[in-house]
Amino acid sequence: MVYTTRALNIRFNGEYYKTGDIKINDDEKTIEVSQLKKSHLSSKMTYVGKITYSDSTMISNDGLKIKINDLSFDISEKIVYDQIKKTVMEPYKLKRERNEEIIKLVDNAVINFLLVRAKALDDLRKLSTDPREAIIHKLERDDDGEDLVVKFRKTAAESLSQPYSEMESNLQLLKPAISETDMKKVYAMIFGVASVQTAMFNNSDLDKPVELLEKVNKNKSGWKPTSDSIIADATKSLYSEISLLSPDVLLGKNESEV
Amino acid sequence: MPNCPNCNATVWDFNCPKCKTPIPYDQLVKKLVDLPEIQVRFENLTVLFVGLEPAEIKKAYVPKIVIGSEGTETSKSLTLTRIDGGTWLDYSKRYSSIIENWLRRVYYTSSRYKMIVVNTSNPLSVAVLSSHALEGNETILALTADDSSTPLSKNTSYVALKKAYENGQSIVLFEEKYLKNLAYFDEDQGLITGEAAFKKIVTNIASNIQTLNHFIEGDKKLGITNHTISTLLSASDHVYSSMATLFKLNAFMNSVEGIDEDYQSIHLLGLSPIALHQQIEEAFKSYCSEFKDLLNSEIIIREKSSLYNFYDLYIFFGLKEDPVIKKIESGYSSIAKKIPSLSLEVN
Repeated sequence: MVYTTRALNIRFNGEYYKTGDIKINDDEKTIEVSQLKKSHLSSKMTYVGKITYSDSTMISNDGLKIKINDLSFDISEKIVYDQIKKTVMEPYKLKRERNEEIIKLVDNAVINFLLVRAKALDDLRKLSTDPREAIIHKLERDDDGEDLVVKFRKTAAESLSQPYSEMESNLQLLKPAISETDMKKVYAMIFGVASVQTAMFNNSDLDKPVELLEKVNKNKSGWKPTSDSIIADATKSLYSEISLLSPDVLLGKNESEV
Repeated sequence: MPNCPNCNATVWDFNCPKCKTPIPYDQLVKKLVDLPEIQVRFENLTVLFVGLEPAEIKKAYVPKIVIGSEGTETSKSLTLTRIDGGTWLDYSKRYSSIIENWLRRVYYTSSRYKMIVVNTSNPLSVAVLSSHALEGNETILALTADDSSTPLSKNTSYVALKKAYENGQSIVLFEEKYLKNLAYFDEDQGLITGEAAFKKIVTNIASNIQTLNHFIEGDKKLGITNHTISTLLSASDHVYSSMATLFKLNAFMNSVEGIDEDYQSIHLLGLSPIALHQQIEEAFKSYCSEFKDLLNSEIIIREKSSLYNFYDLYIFFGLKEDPVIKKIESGYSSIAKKIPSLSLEVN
C-alpha cells in the first residue's frame, strides 16, 4: 500500500524544500521525499530521496509539524499525522503487542518457577529442622508404605517439573523477540535469583549472586533479605526489584504512545 | 555455582575474567530443578503419652494421643473426637487406622529409644497398644486400673495390658491409687503430688532411658516383661535412720499395692551426690541379698547435685506374673460376659 500526502517546509538531509510530497510505501517500508518545482510554465515533482523505516523509527509531532527520524515537514491537518503514524507504526505496533504478550507470559512463568522452587526449598528447610511437622502438613496419608522423607523430597522435586517446562518453553518464544544479549541477561537473572535462594537455604553468603543480579540489571542494587526470611518471600521482593522481564526494558519505551 | 566451561573458575559475571569464555547461564538454569541434599535427624528418644497430658522431657520427642471434643492433628498431638458412651472397641474400630497413619507420619519409630506412657483405663489405649505402627521394643509405663476401679475401666485396662504383652512389650506398672497417693518434696518446686509427681518420675526415668532400657532389655532376655517401681525422691539421711531401713521401707511405696515379694529381678537407678554412691550401693546389695531367687540385679547411680544432700532412688522390681492382671481380671470378665464383643477372645 502506498500513502501520499502534500508537505510543506520539508527538511531532509540538511536541505530545505518549501513544498513537496511524502510517499509512504508500506510494502517496501520506505518514505520517499519529492520536491515540487515550479516554473512559469509548469510545476513538477522531483525525487529528492528516501529513508527506510523500522520498529525503531521515531515518529512524533508538534501540532502540525511532523518528525520522522531526521525528516521533518508540515502538514495541513492533524488527520494526516494520524494516517502517517498508522501506516508507519501499525505493523510494528502489532509486533510489539505480540512481544509484550510473550514477555508477560515469560515473566509469569519465570516468577512462578522461582516461587515454586522457593517453596520447595522452604519445605526442605522445614524438613531438615522439624521433619515431623513438615511431613504432617505436607503428606496427608501414608498408604503406600514408602519412606515419608523420601516421598517428601520426591514431591518437592516433582513440583518443579511442570513450572520449569512452562518457563523453558516460554523462554524459547522470547528468544526471537529480544536481542541475544538481553536473552543472556534473562537467563543470568533467573540463575542469579535461584542462587540467592540456594544461598539462603544453605545459610551461605548472598553477596556473589546479588552482585551478578546487579550486573544483570544495572539500575537496581542494594537488595537485602529481611532477617530470617522465608525464601519464597525473599524471592518475591528480590524479583520485583531486579526483574528485566518488562516490555520497557527489553523492547524499549513504547514511542508510539508519545 | 556458575563455573567457566573452559577454565572451571567460579564466575559471577557474563564472561570469565580469565579466559573471556561466556558463562552458559541457559545451561545452568536447566540444573535448577535439582534440589539440594538435606540431612534429616530425629531425636534419640520418643516418649508417647496416651490419654495423659505429656511431661516436659528435654531432648526428646514427646507427642500425645488424647480424646477431645474436636479432632485435630499436629506433629506433637493427635486429638480424637470423643465417642459418646464409647468403649475401647468403639475407639479401636473408628480410630485404629488413623492412629497408625499418624504414628507413621510422625516417624514414631525413628528414635532409638521409645517409651509409651499410657493410661490403660483410657479407651484409646487398646487401639494404640495394638497398633501395627509399634515395633514391640517400646518400654511401657502403664497407669492401670486397680481394685477400686469400675469394671469397665478394669476391662479396658486388662485388654490394653494383654495387647501390649502380646506384642512382646515390657511394662512398668503403676496403679491409679499409687498415683493418687503420690507426693514428694522437690528441692526446686516444693511439695509435688498426684499426676504432677508422676510426671516428674516419668521425666527423670526418661532422662535416664539408656539405664532403664538396659534393665528392661536384660530382664526381657530372662523372660521378665513386667515390672513395678518404687520411688524415693528427695530422700535424706536426716529422714531415714539408715540406708538399710530405707530399702525396706520401699516395699510400702511400690507402684502396685500388695504384691508378693517373689521378685525375679531388682534394679536400682540412683541419682545422688557422689559422696553417697558407695553407701547406697552397699545398702542396695544388702537389700537384694534377702531375695534368694533373684535372676538379675543391677545398680546404676548417676551424679546429682543437691544443696541438702538429697537423693532419688528408682527401684524396678521384675515379676513372674503381672500382679495387676490378676487384680482386675474379675472386672474384665464381668463386662466380657455381659458384652462378649469386649472380650479378648472376640478381638
